[in-house]
Amino acid sequence: MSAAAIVDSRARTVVERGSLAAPGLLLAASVLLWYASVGSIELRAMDDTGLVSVLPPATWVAFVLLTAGFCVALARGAGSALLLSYVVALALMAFGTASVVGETLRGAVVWRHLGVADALVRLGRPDSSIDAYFNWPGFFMLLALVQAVAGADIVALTGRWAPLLFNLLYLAPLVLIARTFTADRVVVWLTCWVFLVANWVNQDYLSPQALAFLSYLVVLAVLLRWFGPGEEASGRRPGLLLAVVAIFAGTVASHQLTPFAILGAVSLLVLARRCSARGLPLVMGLIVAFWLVYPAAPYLNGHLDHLTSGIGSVSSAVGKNVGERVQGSPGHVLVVRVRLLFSLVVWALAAVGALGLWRRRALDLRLALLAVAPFPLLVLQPYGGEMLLRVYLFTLPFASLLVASALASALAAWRPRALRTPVLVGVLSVMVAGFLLTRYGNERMDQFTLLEVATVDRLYDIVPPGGLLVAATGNLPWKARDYERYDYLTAVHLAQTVPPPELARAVEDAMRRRPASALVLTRSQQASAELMGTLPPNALEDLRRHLGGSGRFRLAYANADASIYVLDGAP
Amino acid sequence: MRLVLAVALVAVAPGWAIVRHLPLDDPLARVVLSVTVGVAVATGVAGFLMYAGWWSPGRAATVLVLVTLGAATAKGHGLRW
Repeated sequence: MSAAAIVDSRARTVVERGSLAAPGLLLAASVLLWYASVGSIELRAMDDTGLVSVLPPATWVAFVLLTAGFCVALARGAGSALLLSYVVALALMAFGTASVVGETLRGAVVWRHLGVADALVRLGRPDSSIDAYFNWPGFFMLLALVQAVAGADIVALTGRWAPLLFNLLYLAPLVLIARTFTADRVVVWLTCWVFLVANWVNQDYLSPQALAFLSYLVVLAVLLRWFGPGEEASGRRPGLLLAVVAIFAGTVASHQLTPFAILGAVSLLVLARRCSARGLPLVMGLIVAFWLVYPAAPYLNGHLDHLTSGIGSVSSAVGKNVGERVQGSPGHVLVVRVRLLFSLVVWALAAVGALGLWRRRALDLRLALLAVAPFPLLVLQPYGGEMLLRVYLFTLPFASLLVASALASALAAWRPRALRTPVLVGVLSVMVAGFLLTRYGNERMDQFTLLEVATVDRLYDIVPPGGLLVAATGNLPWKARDYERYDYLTAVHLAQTVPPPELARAVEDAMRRRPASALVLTRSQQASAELMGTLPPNALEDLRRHLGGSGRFRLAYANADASIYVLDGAP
Repeated sequence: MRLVLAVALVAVAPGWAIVRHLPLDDPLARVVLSVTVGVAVATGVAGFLMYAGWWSPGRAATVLVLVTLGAATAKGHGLRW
């Protein structure tokens, strides 16, 4: 290389370093500002719109700075290391905020999952008569293994940071998938950004779904990358196929729904002759059938009618997934409506992206197929009113890629050029704001305090195993201890058959039928009843009056956030 | 330390030992598959021991270590199967 060329090369490097100094500084500033500001969040001041109601202005500024820096980095052609740093920082800020500000594990279901894993460690076998978890115990066996090797506190720590951990894990197969369809680095990293800020559905807590979604991404990434239509001759296929089958089998043992999402997507690819692993759907179908016929048979035998009653019923699916969700307090209804709107906008932008690619003759049929493959699940089963959420989740990786493509195309055509970056900053900032509202809209009920946890611990001390534990709603940190040794009852469950004026009396009657029982009321139960409208109006107040005024209950324990009542005369 | 041990044993080591036999040219794919195959193997080992009625934490850890060592020391790097 000549001296002139070396000087020119060095000068170019200095200029590049200078042009990337700003996004580098913005990245550091935004993360520092976020970390410094979230400490002042006062969770108890939240209203029914959730975390956004108490986010300090500095936190909002941190998110905008991060978004601006990411867009500047994209515009200046930054390398993958810087763009990856931005995406990791977004994951940290978007999914770590609740973990940083919360006092303990968030979400009642996470506590229940710890209890299932603990039961497996103690029992040493999956007793399929306990409940559905023990018929699909793969994930909990894994947790039990971690608990046995590292201890319950490590499992709890993993639970606290699970949303961040899982979303970071999702990014790797997502990048593999995006790189299969495009060589454009802008589109690849925009895909990651869009995926993270559109992933509001809260299915990344410590759960079988969170791990199964990783399997879903990895299986499809491998098939797209190495089993495309022209990949027949690849020497690595048998080994990779075996890996895919092993990952799928682990998913079948862990989760009821995701295997069907994978099977549907793979079958569609094979039917469209876009996947060379033509025998894979049959193998996957056999694994699913084996699991349903043998390990999960006890559960299926007792619930077959319930599981199959919703098949083909579009009205039932819409009613349970949309109609029944748009209820509760005005703040919560606003959050649910924004969630629906946000999801529709993501799908609409994805459709625009697909249309744009198709018009440029650049649409890969596999991408379009995978973006729509999960929708038939909607008419298969309402899944407790959560199927729309799950369908959204399964479409999200491919929808994000199409949205990124749409954004990149729109920006390329934007005039004047100088406004391209500000426009992108504006669009992505709106998405971040939408994410913070929709993702953390239930935070008032999802966050538990240490006082509530202490109360639940006391509850298990008061009532011996075999007893009945009663609560107004199921939203409290219980079931983590001696999972299979207690019976549980909620006023919400009783309210399905008992008229509101008789609800308090029905709770008392249920407790009287058992030799040992206690009723626990907590701050988060009240929050969930108010947010979701799961109890008749004034039912909680009536219950409190009954407990205090009937003379038949005794306050056994109380702190600022919770109280435990036992029947008078109980030990 | 316990966390590192758990992650290594459950999520990385068995998968890494197995995936190294696949001639993958993409480091990202290798990492992704190491984690997911490792998790699948750990789930399979825990599941087998529990359904067979042989569960104990020590036995599970021993089997995982043996699987890892077996796969790591197996000949045929770059195996085409």
